[in-house]
Amino acid sequence: MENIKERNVNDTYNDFLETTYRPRTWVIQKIESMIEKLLFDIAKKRPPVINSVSNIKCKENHSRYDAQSGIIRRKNNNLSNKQIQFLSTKNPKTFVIMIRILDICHELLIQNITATKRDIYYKDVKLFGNSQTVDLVIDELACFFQIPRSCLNVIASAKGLVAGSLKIIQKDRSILDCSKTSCNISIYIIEQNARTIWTLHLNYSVAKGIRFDIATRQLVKNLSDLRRPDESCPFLQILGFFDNDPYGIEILCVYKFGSLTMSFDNENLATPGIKWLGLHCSDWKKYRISKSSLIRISSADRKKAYHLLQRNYLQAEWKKEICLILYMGYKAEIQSLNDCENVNLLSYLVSKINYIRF
Amino acid sequence: MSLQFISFVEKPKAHKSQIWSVRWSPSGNVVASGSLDNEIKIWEAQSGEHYRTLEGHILAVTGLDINPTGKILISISFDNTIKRWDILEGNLINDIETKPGEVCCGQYNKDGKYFATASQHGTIDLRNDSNLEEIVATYTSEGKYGLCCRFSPDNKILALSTDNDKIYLFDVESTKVLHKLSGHSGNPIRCLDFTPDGKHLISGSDDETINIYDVKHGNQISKCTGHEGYVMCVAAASDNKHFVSGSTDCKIKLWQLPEKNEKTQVVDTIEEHKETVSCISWSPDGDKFVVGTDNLLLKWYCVAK
Repeated sequence: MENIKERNVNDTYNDFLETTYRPRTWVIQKIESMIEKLLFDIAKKRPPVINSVSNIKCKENHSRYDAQSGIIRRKNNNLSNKQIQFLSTKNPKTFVIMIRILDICHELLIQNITATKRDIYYKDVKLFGNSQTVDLVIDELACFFQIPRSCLNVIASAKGLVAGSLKIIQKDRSILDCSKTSCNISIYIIEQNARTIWTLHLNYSVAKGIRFDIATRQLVKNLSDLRRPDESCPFLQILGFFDNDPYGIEILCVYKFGSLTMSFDNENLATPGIKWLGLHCSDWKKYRISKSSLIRISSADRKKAYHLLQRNYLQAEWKKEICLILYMGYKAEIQSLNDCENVNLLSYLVSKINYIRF
Repeated sequence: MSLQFISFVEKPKAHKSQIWSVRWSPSGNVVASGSLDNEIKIWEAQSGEHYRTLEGHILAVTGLDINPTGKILISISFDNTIKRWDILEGNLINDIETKPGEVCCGQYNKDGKYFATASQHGTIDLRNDSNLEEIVATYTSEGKYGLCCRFSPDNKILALSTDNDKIYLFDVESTKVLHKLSGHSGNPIRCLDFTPDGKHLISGSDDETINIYDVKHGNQISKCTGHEGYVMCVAAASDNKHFVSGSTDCKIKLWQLPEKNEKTQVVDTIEEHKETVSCISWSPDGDKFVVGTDNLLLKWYCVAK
């Protein structure tokens, strides 16, 4: 049975989708119901149709910013907007791919083992074509069932993404020692006045169409939620440090508000408390970043900047930074700090921490 | 003849953020300033007293101009609107929606009937002042991103400077390209101004230099070095012999145009500012100008002999 919230006089109506953690048996039962429906269709001599949901169709409309939680969330309407037909002429493989994924997830759940999306992709490379297809279908299934992806026993692979003086003790008691890997993210732990501040340093390479890594977002979210037993406030302040360009700012926004495609699960993925440490336009002059490190922005940068400016819920300081990039027409990468005479990465971070405003 | 700057009015914290555009009204009575803080402020021209604030833009004001009668102000912003205001009454008359990148800068023509806007495709749209959505002519170039557009004093030529070191001089009537100029080593050319006699065009660029071009023949006659930062603004003085410039090196320079084969010289430099001097505007009687800086400061100067 669906978990329907009762409406109290004092409650606001639930405009947004919520994902709920479901036990294995519940999910198994859901998958089996979907297959049963197909068998029923066939028995009634009707062409089988799978009802699902699309995360990419109408991306701008299916979600919106929720001021209360401070993140982008999926609207609670029009959920089943995708029909996968067996007899589709446009995309005959879609139906088969969906069945195969349902099959694989069902098997994982029955045996109670987990797999990554990549593992699943490798089970039938020829059918799936590419790993993005697998990602998409699994996320759509999770959205349709209104569960976090982990309830399908599909876990995100986080290998080699985090480095720094951090050790993560996982549920199965194995330890992930991040000091030994080199990768996309560094976490600097800086002690200051008995407060521990963690700085996230993203060193990503933006290839076209790359999906914002879910594993990393989950890790950051989990870190930001850590609290000491007797305190109600989180004891870690998450600071984001990105390139001073529209793409870097977009990644910052994905960390803070969540993405549109995963909006149904942003409560578990977004870190609304993240603050923007840098790189900022005001840093160019302050830290004497040499003019030769500044790069002229491209028309793609401009387009992205205009797009970001249309998000009304961005704070004024963030909008101003985007306007500054557009107006001056330059961007700077984190590497430009290496070209400065009077500052290096670490001294920049330590100095900037004292000035966190936004 | 030696000229000097004397400051007579100063307005610190004139805005809450960087001041990106300033314009002394052609009727002489007010000065308008536009800022990253989304606001436009109107100041009494002689005393600098704050007259009123025009609120309405929801993102940075990137440019503004006042029509020849001094009654109407048009503002451009990153919020993708062009707003047309009655300066004296302080109300918004027209609010035009544009697409992102469609309007990057703009200027009234000399009789105030038309308003030209440059776009991110290096084109200029000539709009009807009474109906800004009506585009009466379009000027196209191969330029990338129009940074500044300027009418010549006789209204016959439209100049456009671009992000990729190109200046196009269009014939306003026929829309044909009269001259294609270059000369800033591939750098963006942020500002242009014609001398009042229309003979010369002054351009300022990120290569830290200012070029002087002969408009009729379409050739560069001088290169002015001296700034140590991007040249953000240039403005020709009414005597056809001088011009001022502001830069990210925080300095304002007063230059004397060359006679015959002489070099352009710096007559005076103001070094008191701590932040970028973004915009400059002369008074209609030509002996005073006002600057806006990144330090939220508006300052008035007069030029004395």
